Amino acid sequence: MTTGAIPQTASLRILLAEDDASIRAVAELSLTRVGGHNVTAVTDGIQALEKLKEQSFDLILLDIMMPGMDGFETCKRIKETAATADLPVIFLTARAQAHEQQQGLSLGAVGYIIKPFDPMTLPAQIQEVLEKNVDGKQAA
Amino acid sequence: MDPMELEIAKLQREYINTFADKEKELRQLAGASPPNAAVLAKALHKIAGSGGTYRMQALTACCRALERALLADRVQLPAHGPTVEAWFSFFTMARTSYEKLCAQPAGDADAEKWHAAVARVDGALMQLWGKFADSQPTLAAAEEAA
Repeated sequence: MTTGAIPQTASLRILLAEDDASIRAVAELSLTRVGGHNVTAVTDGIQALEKLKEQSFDLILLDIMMPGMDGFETCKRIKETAATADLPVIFLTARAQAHEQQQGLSLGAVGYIIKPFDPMTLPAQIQEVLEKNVDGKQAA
Repeated sequence: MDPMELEIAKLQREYINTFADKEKELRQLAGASPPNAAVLAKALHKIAGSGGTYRMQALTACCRALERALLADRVQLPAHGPTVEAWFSFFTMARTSYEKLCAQPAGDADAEKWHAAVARVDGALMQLWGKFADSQPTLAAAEEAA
């Protein structure tokens, strides 16, 4: 379930799918304490899809390399489902090669945040990606 | 000190305490029979992503270099065993350097000193990594190609 709209500068309900416990811990800390967001964290794509059936979110942060179902497949399924198709997806990943970024964007993601990231500025990076996406849509 | 920095310091200590297990896992993967470079590269990829996030850039640099070398077939298992063993010698040295930081007091009042110490150790390790990578042409080549 999703509202579809992206509240700018507001507290967001973020679904974080990341299998690495150390990254999950620091991302949750950053998003809640620095960003003031509400974070629900899961460890793989399958759990993310299940959580999306239960709760509403404003944004999903997806790791790519996860066991079970990777981030690309998860994003594809999110975009194929009417209830979640408008939910903005940002990949949070150490994969930085251009063709991989293009693959994610072609699946409907709004952007990438590359790991390693700075926990003090992660929320600002997310805001930047979301604003760029809104600007891009307005210009189109 | 910013409360967020105190929380980060706590998480950094927890993260460092996982290094011994990480090294053990990497060594098992590197020595697996039959060799599976892709699985080792995945494990390195994870550490490359988390190291810098925890302000330990030297971890990211060394893991990323070997990950890229494996994915580009510039380092093959077991043919390039000596290169991989040399890489592990650097990783072990980096791990123990970070682990020694945990001997420092963990109180909130010491967080500033903690962050300064992490930055100092990481800076020194980055310099050492630069020299090490220069001495390992297969790793350096993979970095340049990436």
